[in-house]
Formats: sequence, C-alpha cells, structure tokens
Amino acid sequence: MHGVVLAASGAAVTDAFVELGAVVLVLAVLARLSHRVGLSPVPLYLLAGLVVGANGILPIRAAEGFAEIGAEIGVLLLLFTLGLEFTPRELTGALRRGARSGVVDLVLNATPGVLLGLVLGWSPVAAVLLGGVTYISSSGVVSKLLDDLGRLGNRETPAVLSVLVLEDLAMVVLLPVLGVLLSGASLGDGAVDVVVAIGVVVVVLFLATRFGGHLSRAVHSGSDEVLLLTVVGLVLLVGGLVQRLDVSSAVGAFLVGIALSGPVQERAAALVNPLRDLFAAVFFFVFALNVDAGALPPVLVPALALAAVGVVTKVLTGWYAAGREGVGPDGRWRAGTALVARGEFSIVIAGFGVVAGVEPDLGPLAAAYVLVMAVAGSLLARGRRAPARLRIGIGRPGADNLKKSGKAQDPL
Amino acid sequence: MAEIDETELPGVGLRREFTTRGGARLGVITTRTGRRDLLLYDEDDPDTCRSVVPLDEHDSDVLVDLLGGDKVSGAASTLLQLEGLAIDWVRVAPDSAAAGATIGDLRIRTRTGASIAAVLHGDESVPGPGPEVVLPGGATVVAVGALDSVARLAELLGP
Repeated sequence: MHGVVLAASGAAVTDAFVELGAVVLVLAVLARLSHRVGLSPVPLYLLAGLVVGANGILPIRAAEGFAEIGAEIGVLLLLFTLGLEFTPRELTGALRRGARSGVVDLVLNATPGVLLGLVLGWSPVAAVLLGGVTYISSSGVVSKLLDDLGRLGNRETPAVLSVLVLEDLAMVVLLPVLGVLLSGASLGDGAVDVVVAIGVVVVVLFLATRFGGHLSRAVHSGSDEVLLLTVVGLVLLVGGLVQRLDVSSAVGAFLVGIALSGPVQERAAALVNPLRDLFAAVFFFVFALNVDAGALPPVLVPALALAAVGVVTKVLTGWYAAGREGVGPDGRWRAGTALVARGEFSIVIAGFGVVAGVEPDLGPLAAAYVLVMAVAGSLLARGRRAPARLRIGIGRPGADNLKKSGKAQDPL
Repeated sequence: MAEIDETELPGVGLRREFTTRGGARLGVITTRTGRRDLLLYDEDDPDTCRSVVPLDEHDSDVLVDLLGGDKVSGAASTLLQLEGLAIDWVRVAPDSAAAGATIGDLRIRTRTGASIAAVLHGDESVPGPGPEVVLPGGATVVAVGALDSVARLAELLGP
C-alpha cells in the first residue's frame, strides 16, 4: 500500500492531472456553449475529440490508461441511468401498446445502415453495427427536447416515449448478440452463444422485474454516501460478471438500472447522473480521439447520404406511431422530427465495433453521422407545424373528433 | 366529478387531464422528480398545449391553497414521505375486483402492508374502520404505510 502511494506521487501523476484537467476543462467550455445554444453537447465533445486527435494538441499519454477505463465506465453509467429511467411496468406497458410502432421503427431505421454497410463491402457484423447506429434515437436529446419545448403534455408525446422505450429494450437484446458476433465465434458455436446470451438477458430481466423490489430495499440507505457506493459498486460488479458470460457489460448495467425502483430509483439517479455526465463526456471525447482524422473525408458522402435517409425514416416512424394514437398531421410531424436526433447510444454501439476492430471506417462514419444527426435533430424538432403539403388532403381526423365530442378520447 | 384521463409517460411520470364544464382542456403532469406541469391545451390544435406552467412543490401548494384545497394535508404528506412513510387518498375503482368486499376479506394489511385510516364514500366517512367495513366502488380510502405498501394498495383497489 505504501509503495503505491509513493509511486502515485511521481511525475507521471502530475502529467496525468494536467492532461485530464485540460481535457475536462475544454469539455466544460463546450458543455457551457451547448447549453447556451440549447443543443446537445455530444456533437461538440465528438468534434473536440476529432480536432485534438487530428493535430495532437492536448496529447493524452500519462492519463491514457485512466481515460480508457473512464470511457468504459461512462458507457456503463449511460446504460445504467437509461435503465433507471424506466420501470419494468413501463417497459411491458410500452411493449403491449406500441409493439407495432417499435417494429416499424426498427425496420425503417436499421435497414439503411445495414444496407450501406453491405454496399461498402463491410463484414456482416460491421453492417449490423452500422444498422444499430442509424436505428437508435438519442433518448437523452429527445426527452430533453420534449421538455424544453414544453411538449410533455402533447397528444403525440406518449407515442414518442414508447418508441424510445422499445428502442432501449431492443438494444438490450441486440448488445449480447453483437457481443457474440464480435467475439468472432464460428457460425455453429455462435448460434449457441447467441441463444445463451439472450437467455441470460431474459433470466436477469425476469429476476429484475420479479425481485427488483427486494434489491431496491437492500440497496436503500438514508445516507447518500452509502447509496452512491452501493449503486456504483453494483453496476461495475454486475457489468463485469455479465461480461464474463460474453454478454456486454453494458447490458448488466442496464439491467441493474431496471431492477431499482421506487424511492431508491430517484435518489440513485440524482446521485449517479453527475458522475455519468463526467465519464460519458470522457467516453465521447476518447471515442472521437481514436478516430483517424485522415479516414474522415472519404466517409463524409456516405455519412451525409445516410443522414438524409435517417431524417426521412425517423419522420416516417414518428408519423406512423403518432397516427396510431389518432394524432393530427401537425402532431405526427412533431413526433417524427422529435425522433430524428441520434446521439449517445449510436456512439456506444459504434464503440463496441471500434474496440473489437471490425471495420476501420465504422468509427469515422458513426462520428460524422452523429455529428450531423444530433444537430439536425435538435433543429428540425423545433418546427411546430407540418409542412403545408403534408397537411392538405389528409385532414385532421383526430382533432375533429376531439372537437366534436368536446372531450379528448385518450387512445391509451 | 369530471372524468379524468390518465396517461403514463415512460421515463417522465404520469399525465392526468380533464375537460372543464366550460369546455377547456386542462391537465397536470406529475414528474418523477416531484415537479408538476400545469397544462392548458390549445383549442385550435388539441394535440398541443397553449401553455405549460412548471410548478415546484412549493408552487403546487400555493396553487392548491388558492383553489381552496387543504394545505395542511399536503404539508403532512410531504413530511411523512420524508420519513419513508406515505399517506395517500386511494380511490376504489368501481370495476375493481375489490369493490364491495370488506377490509377483512381483502386481507389488506397482510397483502399490502398498508393500513386504512378512513373510508370516505359520498357524505359518509368511517374513521378507523374495522375488518368488517365494506369498501364500496367509488369510495376513497385514506391509506397509511410505507411508500410501496400504499402503491400495492392502490394497485389492489385499482381497476
């Protein structure tokens, strides 16, 4: 113990402090900027990583090991807080209500990514990962947009939130499958592993919904300190153990989040969110830092094409999902544009591929795509009304019903 | 009482709305963080809100007070929640399987852990009800217990 302390006071640590401090401060300035403009900070973090990676200012050498572990912790905490957002009841409720919209969402939005990957001659695994990147909306950006724009009360909002919940659920099934595919197992073994991996998830999800109350009571403590240590320890431990079963550690973290409920859930969120913000920012930065700047220009055209398609497919998804709940054209348009933003989880998915080294162009393409989509999503969602062409001829069945009956029938 | 529509907003909270006798559509979102959003729907586009007023707990108390509500009970419930204890008004849904049964038949203490401090039905009220008291559909019970016990009770008496 004594030796460790002595070594830790050496010059290497001083360097690491300076490096980390500089990076985190740069990220802080960017976060401040993004709050002022009202955009998600994620594209700015990525941009900072790209710039730093390209010209070598702010080199990270002494702190490299810490930054990489920090980035991994960022992924775990992102998934944990995501799981924390939803209760098992909301998950099953969303499944019952919006399963069809969820399928439409998956088919419309994952297909362009998978197809482009295959067209570019990538391996099937890399193509599936790109499908994941284009599929998943940024629940962080979308829920913040809905809140900031005062849309939580809107008729289309439950449809939007249901789509987000189902995407998260889909990701929990997708991640272990990807884990198996990425480990490079042969087709026969792979199939078995995939079944095992999904089995593990289903069992844990079942245990979480069934016995989550017990876990929440066991974790509960009046002291913030005890609660924080317990929760973070649990997330890392379960994440690590699940990873040993070849299921992504992120899935373990998500499931811990799902299992916590009641008062513990809210307090844990309040305590862990600041930690998550710190480590997730490091993750986005490190992800972009590892992107080879020279690889960016060739992927710009595919990324922009994918972005253009991605806007259309998400608008269609929202249009469909809100339409099923009897919402008028303006609301359906709002639902669609609200879903356009892609962000943190697209990067998380691409990150798995980058770590496994499946396709050198995946990182740059995902970074460029998210940069465009995070900004485009935030801007598009601000429009309140559908373009005139969409409104003409469609009429407003939902709205007319509401007016005539004088009472909104809530289709839920 | 006006019919109240409830919609769950996954990850956000619960939205409740109703139409006033004058035809205006009003709603309240109770978020997980305790913030409440007061919603006034747009008459021209009923899918959107004309205005959204975020209220913190203090604001909500003030508004309830202005509307003639009982501020003391609100304050009491906040206090009790701090101790991990909840006091809540739970409605017996008319189509609930529990409607019309007695407290004893339902084994409410055993099954939920919550105690019923009073049963209110129409103009009648039964404070400190024994196991023989019937819970008619449409009645309101005052429940006391741990947060999750009261939640279980609400589920039992729900539709």
